[in-house]
Amino acid sequence: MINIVAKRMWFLSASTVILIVGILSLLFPPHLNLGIDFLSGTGVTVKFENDINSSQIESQFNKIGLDSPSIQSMGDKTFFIRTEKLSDFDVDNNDSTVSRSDLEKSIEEIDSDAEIIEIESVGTKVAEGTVRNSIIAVSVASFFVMLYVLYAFRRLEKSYRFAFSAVLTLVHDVVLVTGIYSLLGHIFGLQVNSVFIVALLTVIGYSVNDTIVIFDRIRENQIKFPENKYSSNINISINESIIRSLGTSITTLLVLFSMLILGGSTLREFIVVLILGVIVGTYSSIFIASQFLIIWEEGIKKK
Amino acid sequence: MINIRTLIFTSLIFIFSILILSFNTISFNFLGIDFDRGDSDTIFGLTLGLDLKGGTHLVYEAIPNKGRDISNDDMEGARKILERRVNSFGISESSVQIVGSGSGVNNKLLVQLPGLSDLNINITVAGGVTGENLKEVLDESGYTDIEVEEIDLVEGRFLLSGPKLKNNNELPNLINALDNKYPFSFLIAFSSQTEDGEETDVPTLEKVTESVSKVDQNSAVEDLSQGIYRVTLNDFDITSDEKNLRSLDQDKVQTFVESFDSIGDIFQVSISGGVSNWKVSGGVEEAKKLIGETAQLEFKERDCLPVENESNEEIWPPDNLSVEEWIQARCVFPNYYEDKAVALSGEDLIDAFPDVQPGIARPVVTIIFDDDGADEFYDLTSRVAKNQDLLAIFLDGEQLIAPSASSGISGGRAFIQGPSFDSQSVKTISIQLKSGALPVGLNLIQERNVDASLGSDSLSKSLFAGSLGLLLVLLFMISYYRIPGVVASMSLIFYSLLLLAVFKIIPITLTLSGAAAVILSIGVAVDANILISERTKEELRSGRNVFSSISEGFSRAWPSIRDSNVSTIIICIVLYWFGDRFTTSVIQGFALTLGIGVLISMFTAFTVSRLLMRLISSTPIGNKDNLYDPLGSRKVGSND
Repeated sequence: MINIVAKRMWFLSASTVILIVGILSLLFPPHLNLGIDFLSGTGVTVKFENDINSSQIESQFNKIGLDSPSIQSMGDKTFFIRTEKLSDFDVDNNDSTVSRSDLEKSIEEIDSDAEIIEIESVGTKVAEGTVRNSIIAVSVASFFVMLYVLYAFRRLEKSYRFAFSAVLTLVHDVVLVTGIYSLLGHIFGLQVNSVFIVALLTVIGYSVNDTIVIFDRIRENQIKFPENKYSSNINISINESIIRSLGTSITTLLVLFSMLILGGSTLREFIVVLILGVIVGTYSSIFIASQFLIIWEEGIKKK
Repeated sequence: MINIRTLIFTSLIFIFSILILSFNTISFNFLGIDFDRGDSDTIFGLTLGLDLKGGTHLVYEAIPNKGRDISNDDMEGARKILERRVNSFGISESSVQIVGSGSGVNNKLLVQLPGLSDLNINITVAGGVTGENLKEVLDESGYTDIEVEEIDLVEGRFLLSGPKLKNNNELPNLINALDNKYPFSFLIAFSSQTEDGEETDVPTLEKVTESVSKVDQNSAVEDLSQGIYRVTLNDFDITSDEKNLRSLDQDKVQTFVESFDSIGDIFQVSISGGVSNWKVSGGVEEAKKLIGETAQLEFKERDCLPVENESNEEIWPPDNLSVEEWIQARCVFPNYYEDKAVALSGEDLIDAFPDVQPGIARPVVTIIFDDDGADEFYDLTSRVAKNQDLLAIFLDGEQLIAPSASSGISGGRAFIQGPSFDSQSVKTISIQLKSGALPVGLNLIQERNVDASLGSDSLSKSLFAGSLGLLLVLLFMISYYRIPGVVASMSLIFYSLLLLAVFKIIPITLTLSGAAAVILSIGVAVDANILISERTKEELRSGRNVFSSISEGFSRAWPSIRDSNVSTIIICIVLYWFGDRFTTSVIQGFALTLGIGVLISMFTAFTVSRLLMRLISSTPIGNKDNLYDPLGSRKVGSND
């Protein structure tokens, strides 16, 4: 049996280090590479027929008054171009003079055989609501999960500790995933859009699911061996669930990696967040979640 | 013990799922209930979201009309109007939903238009062309995927529809191909009598040819006898082509006809061949125009200065006008009148349509108000009639019409007449009045267009990748967990089929985020099976026999599976509940799909897996306990 509990300071330190790096990455511009869902603007995905480079696109866009578009090559002559919002949005608060047909014409100018695969425009109002509503939704969901855990573990003494630890783990996972994603955003230019929020929600679901399975084992062993030391019961429980936790993540990761490699490019950022989430969720449920319980019981000092 | 009823029940569900998925469309009428599900174009007939099948998604924010707050009724009224407009666009499966932002009245409208990127061309081809001819020509020119629908054979009107054209040159190419096949030709009949009724010779073929060559050197002229000629144009373009639109250019037609002036009197000219009109529709811009750029209808009381000198002015009428002139001018020049706001608004107007009234030669516009509007309209018309004022109706701030009233009109039904009304103008006014009946202003705040090819591409790639992933999971499960792995695999296949069948029956619209939820729910389903297998293994190691280990494994795994899944379902409910605050259906689609997936996974784990485990364990091979434990040896559990 591996004594995971005894090494808790190692895992907590490791988490702290990654958290600090992630938070630092979030503090430095461009923080999270926010997409148009959050900042408003227009995103166009164009597949060109001829070989086109970014500067050609940029100069053509500048001509119609779209300054400094962000141009990202997605391979296969396909580009994702992000620029300001168009003139028919936010009628009361918009100084853009570029209409959608202007945009389409300028793409036609670059390459008359270009195909606009996807075009999305978001006004300021939507963008403002997205952040606020995401935070509210996540908070309310966490609150109700906490209530359920309180109920499910009601037969144990101090069941609130399980509830708080589960939510604390959830917060740990969300911050860790966002931090790492921000780091990846710095390096690979990954964007945060509404799909990212969905992925984060998935991570929350996975993390809670995983944590509760282990807590369930702890509950069972606490009832079965009340004479054992708290930390040793927890260690037994973790060891008993570890195969299951790894088995589940391996299977989920098998699906996710095959989606990442073979799936369409539209899902790529989404899958990256999910993979991060599954790894972080598994790690935290094994090495972090139960440590919160022990620290609460026995204090920060290693016994 | 194997429960026979469970066995039958499970088998029936399995067979039903297979049946439901084997037919793309299912429709029947049972006890008067129409049941219609599925889609002939999609995989398994599943209902796909806009991000997977392509289409347009527009979000409008309602702007309050001056000084009034938006009520839920306003939003519902606006939704209905938009729905009617969208329906008039003729796109199937379009929808208009009210969505909110979390506080106060839900003030956003989400319009979803699938397949808008398809191409529609309304085309008029003269010369007895049939749909079959046209289809042949299109096929020959390489446009095999364009379908032809005959709208009016006498007038030669057709609707061409098909997938979006690949690039901007393709439309001109298509029209060129048609122009080459159906050159422009006219039938020109010369009169054989002069204006005075004397007989005269009709122009000869040579003369006609000579005249035409002034405008088109490569034209062909054919003598159809008795002064009737067919002139086929080659170089002279008689139409005005704009982007996405062609119509006959009247000036050019005039030039063409005038070229014959010197040789005789033309009795009749008619088009006998050629593409005289075409109009491309179905674009996003056109839809947006139709839906969003809405006019706002306002009623105002035009309070003009009085006819008689009421306030004892020294000079009346003012500005040295005669009494007759004053009556004409007092409601025409803005410095003599004031437009006052009234409680009547566009949303009080139920209908407006062209109509006729006995005793009135010209057509009229009949307007109908709802009950509130009727009362207000009576008050308004009474005041207007008494003061000899006008009722001014504005559309988008511009005056549409300003009728007078001879007395108060009760009952909410009135007609408007005008000296210049004709059948066309009353139609236009009716449409304008109706389109203005929107209780709120609209502001476009989000737009998303997905090309159908992108959607289907990402769907097929994701499906392939997902299935491969699932296959890998099955291989892993079987090789690691042996018999429980085999059971888990069969249960997973059952799960996937049932999930898709449920999606199809409800029906649940499958979106990209829904697909992600499916992946996660597969993870959850696998997890339940892994928990059970692990527990069964533990029980075996503690010395139980196979059958009781299986029973124990299931009952011990249950609390974990229940608790973890209930938490997931709680998250789904909260997300679904909050989902309509987001202007995308991404969140709700995800929550709904995941919630259903988790519920079904619990069902399959505890019904199907248990049943299969018991079935297999009662066979001679299934009774070998080393086939349940990857380590193959029985060790006492280490929790001592």
